[in-house]
Amino acid sequence: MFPTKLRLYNLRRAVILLHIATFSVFGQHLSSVRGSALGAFTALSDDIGSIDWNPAGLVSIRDWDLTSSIYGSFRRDVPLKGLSLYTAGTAKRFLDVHVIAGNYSPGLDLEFVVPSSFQFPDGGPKIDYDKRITYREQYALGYGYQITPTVGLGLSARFREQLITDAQFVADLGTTGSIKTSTYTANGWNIDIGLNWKPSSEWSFGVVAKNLFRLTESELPEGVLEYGLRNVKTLRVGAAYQASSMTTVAMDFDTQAMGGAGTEWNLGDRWALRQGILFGGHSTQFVAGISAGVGFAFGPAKLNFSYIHFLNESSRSQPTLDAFLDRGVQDLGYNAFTPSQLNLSASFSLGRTRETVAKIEYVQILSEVYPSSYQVHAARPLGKARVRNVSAKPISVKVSFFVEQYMDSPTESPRAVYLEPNTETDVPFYAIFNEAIRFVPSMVLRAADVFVKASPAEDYDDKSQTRLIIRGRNDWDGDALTLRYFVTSADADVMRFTRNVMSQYKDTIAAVAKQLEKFRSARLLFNEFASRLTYVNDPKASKDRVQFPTETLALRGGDCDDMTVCFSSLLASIGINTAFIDVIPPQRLDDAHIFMMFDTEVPASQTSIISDNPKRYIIRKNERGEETIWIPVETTAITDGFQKAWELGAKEYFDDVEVGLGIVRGWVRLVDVMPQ
Amino acid sequence: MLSLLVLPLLASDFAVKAVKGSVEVRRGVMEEWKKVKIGDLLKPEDSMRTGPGASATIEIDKRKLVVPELTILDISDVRQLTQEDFLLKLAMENILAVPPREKDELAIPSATVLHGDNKSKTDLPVSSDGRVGEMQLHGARVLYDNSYFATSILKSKETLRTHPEVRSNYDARFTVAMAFEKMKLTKEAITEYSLLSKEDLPAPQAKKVQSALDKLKQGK
Repeated sequence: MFPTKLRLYNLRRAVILLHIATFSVFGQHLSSVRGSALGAFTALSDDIGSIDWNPAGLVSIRDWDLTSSIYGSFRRDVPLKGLSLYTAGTAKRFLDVHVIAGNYSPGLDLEFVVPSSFQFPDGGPKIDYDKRITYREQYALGYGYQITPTVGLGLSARFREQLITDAQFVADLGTTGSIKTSTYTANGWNIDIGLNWKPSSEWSFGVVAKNLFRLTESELPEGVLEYGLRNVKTLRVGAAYQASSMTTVAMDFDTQAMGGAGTEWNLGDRWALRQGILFGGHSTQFVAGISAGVGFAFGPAKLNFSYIHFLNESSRSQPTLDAFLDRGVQDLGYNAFTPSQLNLSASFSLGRTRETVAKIEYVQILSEVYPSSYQVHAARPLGKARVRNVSAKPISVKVSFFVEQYMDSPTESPRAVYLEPNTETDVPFYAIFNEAIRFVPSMVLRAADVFVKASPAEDYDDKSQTRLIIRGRNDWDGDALTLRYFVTSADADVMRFTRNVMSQYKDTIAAVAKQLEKFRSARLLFNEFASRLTYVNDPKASKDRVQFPTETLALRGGDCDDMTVCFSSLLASIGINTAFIDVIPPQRLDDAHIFMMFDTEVPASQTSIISDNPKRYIIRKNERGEETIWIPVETTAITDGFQKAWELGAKEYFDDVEVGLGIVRGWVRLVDVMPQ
Repeated sequence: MLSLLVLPLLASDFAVKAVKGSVEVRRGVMEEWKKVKIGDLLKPEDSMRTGPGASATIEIDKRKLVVPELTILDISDVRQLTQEDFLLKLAMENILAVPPREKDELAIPSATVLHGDNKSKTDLPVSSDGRVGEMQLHGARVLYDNSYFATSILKSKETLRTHPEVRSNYDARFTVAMAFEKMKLTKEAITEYSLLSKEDLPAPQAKKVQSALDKLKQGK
C-alpha cells in the first residue's frame, strides 16, 4: 500500500509538522565523550569510541579496555528522564599488534514521529495516529592493526537498521474507520576504514573513510527510500598538535563540510579540561554548536563529562518534513537534528593498565653463568637487550633480569638509558644470584625472563624469555680472571689449615725479622702444604674444572689450577696478597699455564734480604704507590719444596715476561687475587 | 718452554772469547756466581760479572762485545727491541702495579685482614752493597756503547729505581737521555734532560745538559 504515489501524497499532505520526539537524546559521536567535548577526535581517538571516530585509534588500546557511557539530555520541551545507558563496549589487544573491539549502543536509536490526525466531517470524531521513522546503530565491531610504532590501520563495521512504520487511516462510509499499519525495514553493515599516523611526539594525524562499503541484508522499497538513512561515502581528516605538555589542539573536517575544532588542557596527571566548536553539518549557521568537558583519570579508571550546546536548537527539535528530507540523516550520532546534551562516560582499562612505550626486540646472553664467579654478574653484564622506544616521546628505560630458583628478585640495570622516539639501543642487564647457585652440581639449562620498563613506571612494558646456561659449581671458563673466584680464604678448612701451621711454627715465625715475616710465613705454609698434598697431572680430568680449596685439602691434591687456587687461598687467609700469572703462549695454546706469586711486602729498596739475583723476584707497586717484592711460585713443583717451587716460578716468569716479553705482548697476564 | 720463547729473540748463545781477571757468570735464577772461562756458552737467562781490573769478550754471530771491569751484564739485555716493545717495557712499572680495586667489581672476601702492627718486632738492618747498582749501570753503559739503546735505557732506569744509592749518578741519567735521543724519541729525551737540568749538577755537566736540551728544542 505504502509505495503508491497516491498514498505518498496523502502522507505528505497529512504531515504538517515533523516533530522529533526522541525517547533518547543523541549527541555528536557519543561513542567518545572526550571526543564530543573536543569536537575533533579523528587524530586523537584512543578508546573504544574509535570504532565510530576512526577505527585506527583502536591500536592505542594496550590490553583489555571496558567502556560504558550514559547520557542525559536538556530539552525545554522534553523532560529529563534520567540517565540511561548509551553504549557499552570492550576491546582487547592480542599478539602485540592486533586489537579487536565490540560495541553495544542501545542509546544510538533515533526516532522521528509524524503525528497525523483525521477529522470526520460534520463535527465527527478526530482520530490521531502516528507514523514513525526509526534508525538504530546498536552493534559495531572494530579491528585495529599496528603497522609500525607510529602508524595504525583500522576497520569497523556498524550494523544500521531502518524501520519505517506507516499508519494509514481508512474511512468506512464516512462514519467509521480503522488504522492500518505497514512496516518497512532495511538492514546493512556499513564499513569504515581509518588510518592514523603519529610522526612525532607533537603531531598526530588521522583519516577515516566512512561508509566505504555497505553490506546490505535488506533495502527499503522504492516509495520510502527517501526516508532512509543516507550512506554517502565520506572522507574525514583530522590533525592534532600537542603545543605543550599541557595543551593539545585538534581539528576535524570532512567531505560533507562538517567538522570541529577543540582544545584540551591537562591539569596534572588526573584532570583535563576540554572545549570545542562544531561547524557545518547542514546546520542553518556555519557554527553549529559549542562544547565543553572535563576528564578525570585515576589508575585504570577514567570519567569524562561533556556538554554540547547547539545554537539553532529549534531547527533541530522541530524540523519540517522538507527540512528532514533535504538534510537527511547520515550519522546517527551527529546530524542536523542532534539536540544539546550532557554526556557522561566511565571506562576501565583492565590487565595492562598503561601504554607500552618500550619493546624488547631481542635478547642476547653474553656468557654462561659459573657458580664460582656468580658475583661478577652483579657488576658485569650478563647479557643485553635490544630495546626500542615505540612511543612518540623520549623515554628512559631500565632492563631487569630474573631466573627462577637462583634469584630472589629481578635485578634491574643500575642506570636508565635514554631513548629518543622510534629509536633502539642495547641495554645491558645484570644478575644478582642467590646462594642456591653455588650448589649446582652440573650444568643446567634454565628459562630466564628479561623485562623492560620505562621509568618511572611501576609495571614493565615488555617481557622476553631467554635461555640461560648455568654451569656446575666446579666448572671454570678458563679465564684467569674468574679463577680468583675459586679462592675462598674464609673457608673453615682453609682457616683451620693455616692456623694449625702458624701455631705449629709460632716460635720460628716469632724469631723472624719483621720485614721477612710474610715471606717466611709463606715459605712455611708452602712446605707444610707440600708435605700434605700431591700434584696430580691429569689434563683431561682437570680441563675447565677447578676444585675449591676445601676439596683440594680434602682430596689431598689437585692439578695446576687446583694447587694454585688452594695455595692462594691459604696465603690470603693469613693476609698475604697473591696474584695469578696466566701464561697463554701464542700459537702454543697447549702450553697455557697458570702459576702464582705473592707479596712479601719487603720494600724494593731491601731486595738483598730476599735475594741478590733480581731474576728471582718481581718488584710491583701497590695501591699506595710503594714498591714491594713479590715472589713467583710454581705450585706444581710442590714435592720439591718451597725453594724449588720459587726457582721454577722465577725462571718461568723471567722466560715468559722478561725475555719473551709476554706481558707487553699480551700473552702473559697478572691477575691480582686480593688487591688491598 | 724457555728455548722456544727465546729463539726468536736471541738467535743463539753467546760464546766467551776472552777473559781477563775475575769474570763470573750466574746461571738463570741461581744465587751463586761461578768462574767463567774461554769457550763457555752464555744463555739469555745468564748474567756476567767482572771484578776490578777484569774484562771479558763475548761473541754472537761474529759480533763481539767487550765487558769492562766492575760490570754486571744480563745477557738477555744484549738484544734489540722494537720501539713498541720498548715503550711498553718502559711502562712496565705501571703495568705491573697492583691495580686499584674496580669500583663496580665485587671484592673477594678476605678472611684475614691484618689490622695493626706487631710492635714487638723490629726490622732487620739492611746493608746494601752499593757496588751492585754501580756495576749494573756499567752494564747499561756497555749496552749503550754497543747500540743496544732500548735495553740500556731499561736497565739504567730499573737500576736507578731499585738502588737508591746510585740515584745521584748523573752520568747514568745522561746516558739514558742520550739513548732516547739516539732512538729518536725526542720528547722522552727532552724530559730526561729537563729533569737532569733541575739537579744540582757540576758546571761542566750542567752545561752539557743545557746544550743538549737547547739543541733538541731547536730541532723540534
